[in-house]
Amino acid sequence: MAYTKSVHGSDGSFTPATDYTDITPNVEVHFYEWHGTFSGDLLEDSGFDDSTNWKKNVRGMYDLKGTGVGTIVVGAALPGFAATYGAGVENAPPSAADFTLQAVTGDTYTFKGIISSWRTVVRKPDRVILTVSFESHLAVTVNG
Amino acid sequence: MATLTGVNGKVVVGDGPTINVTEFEADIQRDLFDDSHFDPIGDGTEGNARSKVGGMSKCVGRLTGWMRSGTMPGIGTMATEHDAAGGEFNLIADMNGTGADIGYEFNGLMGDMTVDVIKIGLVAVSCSFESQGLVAAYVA
Repeated sequence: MAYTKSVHGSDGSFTPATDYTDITPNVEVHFYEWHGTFSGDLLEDSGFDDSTNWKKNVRGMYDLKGTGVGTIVVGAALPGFAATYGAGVENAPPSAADFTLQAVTGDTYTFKGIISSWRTVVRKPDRVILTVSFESHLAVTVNG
Repeated sequence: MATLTGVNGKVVVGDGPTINVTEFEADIQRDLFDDSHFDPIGDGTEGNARSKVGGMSKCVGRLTGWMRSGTMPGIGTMATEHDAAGGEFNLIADMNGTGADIGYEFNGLMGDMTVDVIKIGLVAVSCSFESQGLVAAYVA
């Protein structure tokens, strides 16, 4: 077995759209953290034709949900939904906003998605922290 | 450019309590709907990856600070079945830092308000709020 090692986050990156500035004009964010959760439905498929008493399942639909966290650079605006609502509107699905979540060079999740929340926390003695929440739309490509 | 901090932040609530705000959270949210469906029209939604579409947006958040003397905090203007909300909120993250003020501007409602009084400390006040209508970039 080839040697493998634990991955350090120093090579990670988070890009919440291929053209981020269309969604958040005049916002410069330095992301330092991202979280992603793959969730898939498990559907019970136990049947009378199986004489054992062990349950069986089949996999259903899945999506990827997560958050990205970063600081905001002075001189930029605060983030929000642009006039065109960026990635995904109620009348049309997202068409060009590819999210890229990288753990280390060469190991990525790539997908079209929708941003569901921009959460800005401002405390007088601290940095301004932005948390972006998102959900995938259709297929998620792993490593490529 | 430097990282944005809260040192030059500012909060203005047009029809609410007067408190010395030290912290605010603003969460601009959008509804998401699962649009997964069969693919008889060839729109690329076949397969087991969920399809999504976005809906309406709002801003919800919370203010935290210290009570000012002479002004017992209250909820302020609230919408009723006869009258819409009219309290203007200005949440500013940077006030005249290295450029123009940056923040959010919207009409909103205050929800709950909590006042904590302890013998040995300052009187703390916190309240929640929610936008009513458009949330725009703050313009000084």
